[in-house]
Amino acid sequence: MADFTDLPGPRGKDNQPGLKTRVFIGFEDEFIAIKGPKKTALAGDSVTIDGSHTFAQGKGFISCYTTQDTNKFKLDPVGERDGRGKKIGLEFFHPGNSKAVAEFDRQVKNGSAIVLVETPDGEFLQLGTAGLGLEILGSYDSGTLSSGRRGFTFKGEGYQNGLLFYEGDITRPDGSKINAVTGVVTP
Amino acid sequence: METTNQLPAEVAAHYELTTHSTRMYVPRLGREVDLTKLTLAEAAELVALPGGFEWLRVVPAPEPAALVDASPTTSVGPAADTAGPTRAKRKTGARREA
Repeated sequence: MADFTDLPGPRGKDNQPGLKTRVFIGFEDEFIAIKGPKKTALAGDSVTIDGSHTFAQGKGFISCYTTQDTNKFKLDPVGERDGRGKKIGLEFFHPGNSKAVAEFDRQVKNGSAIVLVETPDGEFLQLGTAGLGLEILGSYDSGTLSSGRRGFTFKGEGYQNGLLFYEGDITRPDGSKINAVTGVVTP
Repeated sequence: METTNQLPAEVAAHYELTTHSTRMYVPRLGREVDLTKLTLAEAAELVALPGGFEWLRVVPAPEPAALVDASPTTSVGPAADTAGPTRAKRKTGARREA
């Protein structure tokens, strides 16, 4: 573990709350390798995933659109003194009742997932780790003609030791019917 | 494991895939890339990203062919040795009787 370092205030730096609308979801059974945190001792390494996860042939993280201002991620302490961990709380709303989301909801409820969410400043946070995947459960609401909204509210629950930063590449399922954007932007 | 996902021919001449996955979102670029549709310039820029790009590996350049003697050889074999055999030195200066 790295030594403790100072924890300064924002000093004018952005600290926008919330998450971006896109959520990446990977099913634990479809990974070849789920990387753990870095083992080096530089500041921040113990909470940064060591590289990129890899998937079985044709598999990858799927991308889920979430309605703006519905995506939320919490980590709360659990356990007892000298034996503490963190409980993951994830919630987001996916609008619509497509067959694709219906199939996702049906399968994911008895599965285990690794989820990546993106902060407004472009950092990816990982929820779930190898052997400790997230359980994602969906609730469907049709809304009424005069109020509400139609779609699925998904809630994720799991346990991990703390915030995890993902800085690797996000493998997507191979599929010729999906048009990927090519072109490279020099960062 | 066999895969039908391949790099474009011009890219495959210089790089090889280290994964069977060819579609990924690259946070350092802020966009998705499809490795089956890359141009050579795009592949070079991916590899030049800070931290590298682990899914493409530079194909080592072939070793130059070993230098060979350009002189032609006959079908009967190598050129004859015209120097003759080396004679052993006698231990004494006496001439050998015929």
